Amino acid sequence: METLWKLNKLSKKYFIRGLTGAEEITALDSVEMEIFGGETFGVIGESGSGKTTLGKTMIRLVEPTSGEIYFKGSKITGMREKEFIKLRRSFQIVFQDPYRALNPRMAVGNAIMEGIREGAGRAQKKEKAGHMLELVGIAPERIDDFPHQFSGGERQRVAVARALSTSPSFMVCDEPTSNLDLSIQAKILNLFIELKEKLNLTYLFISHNIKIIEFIADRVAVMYAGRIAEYGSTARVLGNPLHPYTKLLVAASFFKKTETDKIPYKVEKQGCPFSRLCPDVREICRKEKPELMPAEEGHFVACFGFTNNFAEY
Amino acid sequence: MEKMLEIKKLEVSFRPAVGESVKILRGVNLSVGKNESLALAGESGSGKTVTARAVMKLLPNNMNFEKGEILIRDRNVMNLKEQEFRKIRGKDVSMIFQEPSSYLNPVFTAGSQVLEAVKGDGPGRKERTIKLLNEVGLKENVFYQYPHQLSGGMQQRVMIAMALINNPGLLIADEPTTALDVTTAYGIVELLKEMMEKHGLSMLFITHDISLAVNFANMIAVMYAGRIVELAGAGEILNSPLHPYTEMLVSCLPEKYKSGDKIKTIEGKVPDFRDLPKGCSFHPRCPYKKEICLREEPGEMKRGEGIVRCFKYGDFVEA
Ligand SMILES: Nc1ncnc2c1ncn2[C@@H]1O[C@H](COP(=O)(O)OP(=O)(O)OP(=O)(O)O)[C@@H](O)[C@H]1O
Ligand SMILES: Nc1ncnc2c1ncn2[C@@H]1O[C@H](COP(=O)(O)OP(=O)(O)OP(=O)(O)O)[C@@H](O)[C@H]1O
Ligand code: SF4
Ligand SMILES: [Mg+2]
Ligand SMILES: [Mg+2]
Repeated sequence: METLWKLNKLSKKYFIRGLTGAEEITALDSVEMEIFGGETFGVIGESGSGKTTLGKTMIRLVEPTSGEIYFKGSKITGMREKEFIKLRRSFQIVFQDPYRALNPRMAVGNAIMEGIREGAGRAQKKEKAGHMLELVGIAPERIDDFPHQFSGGERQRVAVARALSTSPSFMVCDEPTSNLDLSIQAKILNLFIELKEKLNLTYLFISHNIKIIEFIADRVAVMYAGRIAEYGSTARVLGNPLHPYTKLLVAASFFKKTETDKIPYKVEKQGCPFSRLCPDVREICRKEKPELMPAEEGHFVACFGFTNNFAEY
Repeated sequence: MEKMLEIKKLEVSFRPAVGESVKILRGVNLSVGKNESLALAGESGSGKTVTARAVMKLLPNNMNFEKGEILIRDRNVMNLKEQEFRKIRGKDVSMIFQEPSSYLNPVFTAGSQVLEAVKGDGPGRKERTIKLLNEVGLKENVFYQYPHQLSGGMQQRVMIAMALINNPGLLIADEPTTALDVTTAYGIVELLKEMMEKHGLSMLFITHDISLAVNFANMIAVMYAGRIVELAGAGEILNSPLHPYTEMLVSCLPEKYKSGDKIKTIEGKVPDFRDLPKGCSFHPRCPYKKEICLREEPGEMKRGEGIVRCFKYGDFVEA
């Protein structure tokens, strides 16, 4: 398969005011990965682990602090805006927050029509927009309604309809179905899959719902504290999780109590970020950061537990 | 038992730019007992948020109360003046809103907004705020961050902290964990349970996630097209749903199928309030429909502790 995206030591730092003075937040920490053309690449991980930042950085809505991004072999970090703009048109994002993503003063039909590529006449565009609404389970009669007249889940679906109607080639889907009940969620997921096959789309699909990732993603990356803890084929990563954090995430469910009943927000600055909560922690984990290493064919993990001589640490 | 919240035959409508007003809530009956949690589930667009906003007296400008009663601690609040209700809002009853960014003010820090929500002054407000931020899994530095500097799930948790800061008696939580990963969501649910135990919190918990609802609600109400179509214990909803819509919804649960299966959907047209089908509003999608379903609207039939609105269970017609 063709490599579409290649991320090389991609990092993003933010500086904020803390309780005791300036503080640094590492939203992305040396992220390295490849995304193949035509695949759905899933991203899961804790709230605040950098998933949204990753998606936004890839399509240059956020400038990385360091590292490089390659798209189809050309480096887009540092690319001049004039050149990048050609690419931008084929990139889309469904923002995590549909409320802020939609223009409150524009009827949803117009918002969708805006994205439909030139060529079609106004009447045709309007018809297509109505059809898009129908595909996401909204009555086409509502085409002239404004964003505030919709429910949370309806707004989310309008955002999906708008993004998909631009015929993108790459799309970041940031929790696109988080507000939807199961049956409508399934409808939208099936739509994503259908359009992917039709348009040869590639998705970066962010979700905290493991069941959804299992269903939709070919491969998946698990993020923790701005780093990729583990990545590989979805079946392998979720079926046979190797990183202790992934194990925790996969085992957690509302039907089963997890081992940690505390919310794991305590991230270690030094060493492995998961070391404070990790049940398998060793001395080395508190000192050094584990790098991503191949654990088996096409399955990478950043954990000292998978170095040959772990027993000695 | 003492009731924390009681909604009786609530009707709410909206005025479209052109044409006649359209009913959204069509006679909603609900009640939450003291120290109880009731989950409100149902299809996207069925009227869950409108119900919640009606209780908070925060309906959008283009919406009207038509009929019905809302009682908070046995006190009818329908006719309370805004000035009066403001004393209740945030303290007796508070709400976690579905889309945090629409309620968080972009120009104030998260900390100052939570502080602002604290009723009454007195010492230790800041400490209390920071402690609560910690309890929802946020670091202290979030106190000084602006909403746009926070991730989606972090904003949601700031909203949760804001709603809990005054130890409200009744909490209306509108999809409070949608932006959270399971472990973090689990922590929030534990925190809410703890508040129920320690502070006698009662809750109306709106969620599309049935497995979450089952986990900690005593009763689940299922809404369809502006009405409660079924109310039953959490276990009953999961294992022996009565209403055909509930049955379909539950059959979509990921727990019910193995990976590799195609995810199920509920086929058919989603109802449009401007043009609701005659008779039972679910009939166009219902596999059990009979002749009467196309003509009449099913009324509320008692079933054990709960209710169901469906002619499968008797020909009780809505008055
Ligand atoms: N503009 C910004 N300024 C400062 N900090 C930021 C900014 N944007 C993001 N951050 C911080 O970067 C970290 C990662 O945020 P990000 O939004 O990528 O998380 P996420 O994985 O998408 O989380 P969630 O699942 O909650 O949406 C967080 O600690 C967040 O506070
Ligand atoms: N301001 C408004 N004007 C007109 N219609 C509205 C307005 N707000 C909501 N609606 C409509 O009222 C219905 C109920 O909306 P509500 O927000 O209560 O749905 P919900 O059950 O909370 O759905 P979701 O799960 O998607 O959040 C929807 O069909 C919506 O489109
Ligand atoms: S009343 Fe009739 S149409 Fe409505 S849910 Fe019951 S059987 Fe189906
Ligand atoms: Mg995010
Ligand atoms: Mg809602």
